[in-house]
Amino acid sequence: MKGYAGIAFLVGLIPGLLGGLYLAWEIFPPPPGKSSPAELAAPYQELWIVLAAQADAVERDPVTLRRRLAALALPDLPERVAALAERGLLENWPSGIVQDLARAAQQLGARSPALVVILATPVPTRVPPSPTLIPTPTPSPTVTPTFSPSPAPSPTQESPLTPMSALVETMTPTPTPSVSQVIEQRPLCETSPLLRIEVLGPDGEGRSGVRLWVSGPRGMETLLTGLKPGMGKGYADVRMEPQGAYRLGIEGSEPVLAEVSARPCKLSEDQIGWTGWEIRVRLSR
Amino acid sequence: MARGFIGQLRVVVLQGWEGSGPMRGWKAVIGMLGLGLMMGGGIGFLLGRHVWPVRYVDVAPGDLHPAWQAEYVQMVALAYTRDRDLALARARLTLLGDPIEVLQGLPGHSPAPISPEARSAIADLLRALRSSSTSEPPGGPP
Repeated sequence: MKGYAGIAFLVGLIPGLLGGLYLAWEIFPPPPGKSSPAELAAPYQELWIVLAAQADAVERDPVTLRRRLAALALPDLPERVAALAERGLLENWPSGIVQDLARAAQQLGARSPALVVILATPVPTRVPPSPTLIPTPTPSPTVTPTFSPSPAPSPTQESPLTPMSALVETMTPTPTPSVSQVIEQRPLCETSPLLRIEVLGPDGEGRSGVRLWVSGPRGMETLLTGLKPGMGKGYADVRMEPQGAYRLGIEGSEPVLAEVSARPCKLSEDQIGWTGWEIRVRLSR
Repeated sequence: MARGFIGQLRVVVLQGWEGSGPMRGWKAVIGMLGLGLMMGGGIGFLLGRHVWPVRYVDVAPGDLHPAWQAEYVQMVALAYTRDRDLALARARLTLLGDPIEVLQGLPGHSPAPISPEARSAIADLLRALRSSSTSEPPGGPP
């Protein structure tokens, strides 16, 4: 019976333990209100980062900045702050916030070309874009979101396959009465069309930190040159939708610089591609 | 018949608790089982509370420890100094409660010393919130 008593103790202990844990976790959990920033939901963590960066811009106290951000317990904190700065840039957040974030990321040790571009770009006075400069996207009526290239193009297709040479010949650059102008516009036949833009300064050198707008079937997108340094300082690109018509301009007070569309083209004998574009823009100043 | 069965059961139970015969061993077994349950429950509860406590995730600023809430309020006030967006500052403070009360209660909640910049930013934001709340017409949205 002595052995049975020991077994009985163990048999009681295990469900007792489980029951105790259940009571502590489910029935009588400690009240909330003692959490740390590390337990904040993701959007609030981002808010915390933005606030810490903005507060640091006023206080200029790197120790406090580190303490506040370290409370988030993010393993890749500098990269996360830098990524938030880049996101802010692409999503057109106020320049002051983007620069505060970039500065905070640099203080934490993040290094990226985008940060250099952001910090080198002067904070502009935000001027609402003129309605005439940002046209309402007019999706092409022939847009087919679920397009799958077939060797035999449909007879109802609006634009017949055009040889690339013909495209180059018939291409006429948009007249540019503004200060910046398109100096080269070249189609490329590819499976996933890209609109590649290279912005050059008056000296012919690539210019980073230039904001461009591209209007297409997905709406208005903002690009910034120089975020892909391997491609050149003045480079930016955006993916084009097949059959999509795109307009390109420089953010500020300039009109449409170029209008292009991704048209079907012959990639090889039995394969259809779409025209991507390479556009070179020269700034006057 | 029924009375006879109940009587027999009564004898068995009494024998068990009084410790006579083989029932004495069963009493020990049941006792140990109960003891194990109680001890397990106590240990489990302590473990669940102190060693592996419940961790709240995806919380809002209102669920932060008061010290971190104080930090949050300071940052909101400093950000207001930067962007001068009163509506945004108010919305951010509303996550903790009434914005004016939150700001007024800050010195009592902040365990760390408040920087002069933050102190001035808090006073500035408090002033702006008070003046905007007095300029608002009484009533408000339904």
